[in-house]
Parts: sequence; structure tokens; C-alpha cells
Amino acid sequence: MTRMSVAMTAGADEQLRRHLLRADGQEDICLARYAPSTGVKRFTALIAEIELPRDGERAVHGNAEFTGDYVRRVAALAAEHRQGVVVLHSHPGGRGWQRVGGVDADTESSYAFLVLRLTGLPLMGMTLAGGDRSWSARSWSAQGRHVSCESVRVVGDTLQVSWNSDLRPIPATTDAQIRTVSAWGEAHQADLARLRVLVVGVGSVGMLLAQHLAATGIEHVAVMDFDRVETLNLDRLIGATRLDAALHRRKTDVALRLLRSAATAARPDMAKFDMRVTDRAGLRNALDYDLIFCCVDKPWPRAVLNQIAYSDLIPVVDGGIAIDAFTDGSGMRGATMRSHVIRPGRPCMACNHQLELGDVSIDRAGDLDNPGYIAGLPSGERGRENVALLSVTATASMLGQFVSLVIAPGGRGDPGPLRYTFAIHDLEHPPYESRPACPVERQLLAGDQRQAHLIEDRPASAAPPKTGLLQLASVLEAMGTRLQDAARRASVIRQSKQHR
Amino acid sequence: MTATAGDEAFIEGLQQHGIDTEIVDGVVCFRVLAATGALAGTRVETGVAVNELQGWPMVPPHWVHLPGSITIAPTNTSSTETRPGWVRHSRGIQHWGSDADLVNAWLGHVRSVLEGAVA
Repeated sequence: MTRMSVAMTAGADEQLRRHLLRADGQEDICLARYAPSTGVKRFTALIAEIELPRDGERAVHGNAEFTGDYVRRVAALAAEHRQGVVVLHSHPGGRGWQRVGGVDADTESSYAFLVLRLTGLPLMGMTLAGGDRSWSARSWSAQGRHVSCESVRVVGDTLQVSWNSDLRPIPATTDAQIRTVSAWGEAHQADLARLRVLVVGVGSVGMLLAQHLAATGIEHVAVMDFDRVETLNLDRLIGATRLDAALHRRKTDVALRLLRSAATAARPDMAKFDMRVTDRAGLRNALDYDLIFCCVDKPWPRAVLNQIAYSDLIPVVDGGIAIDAFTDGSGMRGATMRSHVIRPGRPCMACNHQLELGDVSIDRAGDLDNPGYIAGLPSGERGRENVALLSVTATASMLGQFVSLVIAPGGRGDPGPLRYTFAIHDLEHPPYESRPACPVERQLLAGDQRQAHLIEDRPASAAPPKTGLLQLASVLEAMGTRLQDAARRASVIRQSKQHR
Repeated sequence: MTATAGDEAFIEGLQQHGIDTEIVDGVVCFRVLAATGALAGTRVETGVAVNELQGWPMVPPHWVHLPGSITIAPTNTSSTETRPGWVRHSRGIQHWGSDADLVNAWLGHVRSVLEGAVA
């Protein structure tokens, strides 16, 4: 069954709060237009335009009511832009997720058929609880039945999620998480542990980073990669074994094994996608996530993730390391680590000088994997240097960005782009800002109407055949891993029960 | 209806700059006035492959297509996926998205490539 959700920018959240939370303490109401963003398992209504009522379109008298003309006006605008309609109202004294009923439900359901007929999209209803400023939401069918949303996400300096605990219950903390929970408290842990987090690219940075997310107690961590382990990866792919390389195992299979081993959640639900985010299926799966880590270095997948950070309002934590080696192989001049959160209000990867949009076409054409093409590049553009000792710094900085975005230590959200220069060991806040004409950030809240030409479908790579000895080693290893997992799960569940 | 993306948007953008186009062998062909270098003052025929315009305007093309008679500084070149007798030159444009008029940015890029042409 499709999970329903709503997302908005911090700017929209502020504008709605200003309108809906009145100084006189009465309820208020307004309408908005939303852009649909459709993943495989989740439908998100992205609040795109707030349509405040004009004179005579609503009345406030303790409760609030609005006219049919107001709904028809906004629905016509929404239809013109291939968008849907949201009805929003406030419960000034409410706290937490609000269940809809009574007059509120009657009002919303009475317009459900009209809005669906005019826009082709379901009417969404939202409630703002004034007591703690949390949101709740639901979608309405033409027959006037509602489906509760799972969450409402507000993306700004921080990622604030209002959770429907009926659909996404607070995970029980385990004894393995005592030190973590003591760092930021039960409430932050409950928010963080329910996030659905996707790591795209499980190389040196992604593999390590994903394990830290699982160890922290996040219930659902997924990894996406189409590649397989090779011997030349083993100096950086911490946790991958020689057997993994010999068997050319998928990096996602290795990551999943490590995630399950590192998980401290009582009910971990780890997932993998053996696909590219540049494929249609990869993109649609990515749209199911609350936050994405970008751990890929090729321009094309980076461009896709860069786009959906704005078009679909999914914050992307990006980072990496560039090593400056002498071209004659005689040493290393230095290295630079970068990390940043890509989201509205912060520069995109292109504005931030971390993506050349002009390189996407050649990557897409396969030239960056073509030895002949690479040999024709100037020597300074051929580098693939990478060192596990240094990439761990990028991992740490990206996780730091994530903690700032989600937990906001000291009330401060993500710090903006960071650049750490080795050799002189200097940390800077580079002054990059969004360029006014940026063609990526212009796609803000486009949702399913995002420029789709970056996506295509390619077949998955086939597994190389296993020899008899490798087959046997693989079976023995799998048996050992299963026993280990079972023992670990039993231990975590026992601890969880004792904790309760 | 005005196209907002893809090769149609690119062609419409060129037309808004008063530049005529035609598609030949999968290449959008048009002329650019070379501003500097050995070809300065010449209207040079150039082109962009249609299949490289799928990401336009968010993603620019990479290859600059020119008649084989024009010689420019050597980089990766290819005579496939272009018009017979033409050569496509690997010339990535940098800092894409800084210019509000992206068609103008592409024209400027082609002019900068032509600046290095040998007469």
C-alpha cells in the first residue's frame, strides 16, 4: 500500500504558521497547491504555492469556514499547473499528530470529489497544532474516505518531521543505544530512528557511513549501487573481504551484511537496490526516502540527486575527497575534503562547485568509462586517486552535517558547505551561494514534473560464474553469517525487553 | 506552445536569437559568427547532436560539431555520430548555469572554441 506524506520548505511552514496561528487564538484556514512526487512506495504532496483567502472567501468565528468559490478558484489554478489542492486549518491548542473527525472531516470530505474531478489529484487535508507547531495530514478519496499520512516533513536549516505514530511507531530504544540516547535525548532519537535514509554509492565513504547510521539506531537504512567488489576496492572498502572480491559480490550485498551486523535497532529493516539512481527504477525508489547520502563521484548520478534535492524536497548530504597527487607518481601535494547539505536555501552542487553540469552528457554517453576517451583527456583530469585513511574524514564530515540537520545541536542546523584542506589542516566555510540563474534550483518543487530527460533504463550487470571452491566458501560463509545474525538479534531483543 | 526542455527548447532559443536551424543527420545545425581568432568575422557552421540535447537546459551538450575543414587544437575528437565530413570535438563547458541566457552561454562557448581555429 502506498504511504502518503507531505513536504514543504521552511519558508512555506513559516508563512502558513503566520496565517493559521492567530494572535486572537481562533482557528483559521487556507488553501494551497501541491505538486505530486511519486515514488515506488510513497506519494508525497509538495506544498508548492500557498493561496491565502481573498476577502469574503473565509469566515473566522471561533472555528473557520470557507466558500466553495475559494476551492474552485484554487482548484482551477492547480489544474492549470497540473497540481493538487490542500486544505489547511489550525488547532491552536493542539499538540502532536491530530486525528481528523467531526466538522473538520465533514468539511474536507465534502470537497474531495470536486477537487479530484477538477485536478485529477486527491484532496489533501492538513492540521497545524499550535501547541507544538507539529503538522498532521491525510488524503481524501472521491468517495470521501481518508487515508492518514505517515509524516509531514519541513526542510530548512533543520529537517523537522511530524510523525504519525500510529503508522510509524516510536522505535523502542535498546541497551546498545544508551550512550547515543544520552547524547541528545529520547525525543531526538525517536525522530532520527524513524527516518528512512538512503545511501547512494557504497564505496569507501558510503560503506562506512551506512554502518554508522545503522549503529545509531536508524531502523530503515537502504543502500543503492550497481557495482561489484573487486580486489582493487579492498584497500578502501572496509568490511569487504577477499572472498567478496573473489566472488565479485555486489557491493550492496556486502553493505547489507555489514548493516545487519552493525544495527542496534530492535527491529532493523535494512534494504538494498542493485540499480543506478540514473535509471527510472532507481530514481523512483530514491523518492521513497526522507534523506539521501550522495556517495558517488560520477557527474550523471550526482546531477540526478542534485536535482531531486530541489524538485522533490529530499535533502541530500553530499561530500567527498579530492587528492592532489603529483603526476609523476612521486608523492602527494595535498587533499581537499568537502561536505554540504543540498537543499533549498543552500547552493546546489553546481553552484557549490561540486558538479560540472557540462560533464553530465559525456558521463551519460559512457565516455568517462571509456579508456580511449580518458587517455585523450589532459593529465590533470584523469585522476581516480583514493585513500581509505583520508576518505574517513569525508565520512565524518558528512555524518556531522547529518547530525546538524536532524538534531541541530545548540539549536543550529546544517552549517552550510565545509571545506577541509589537508597539508595545512584548515577548515573553511566556502562562501558559495546559489546563482540567480541556476537551472537546477529553478526546478524547486517540480515533483513529477521535474525535467525527466536525465533518466533512462539500463539492464543490470550479470554476476560472473562461481567456481566450485568459491561456491563452497560462499555457502560456509553464509551459514556463519546467519548464525551470527541470529545470535545478535536474540541479544538485542532480550535487551530491548529488559529495557521496557 | 513554447518548449521548456530538450532539443525543441534549444532550437526555439536559437530562433529567439535570430539564428536559423536545421536538423541534418541527427545534428541541430546553425551558424555562429566567430568573434576572435583566425576565423574572426566568418559565419561558421556548427552543430549539436539532438541526443545530447535531452537534458537541455539543465544539462548542456558536451561535443561541439564542426565541418572537418576547420582545424582546432587537438583534444578528443570523433567523426562518428555527426554529419558526414564533420568532426565532433570534446569541449566541456564550465560553470554551466551562471548565465541567465543559456543559449547565449552556449553560443559564447562555441565562439571560444572557434577562437583557437587554425585558418
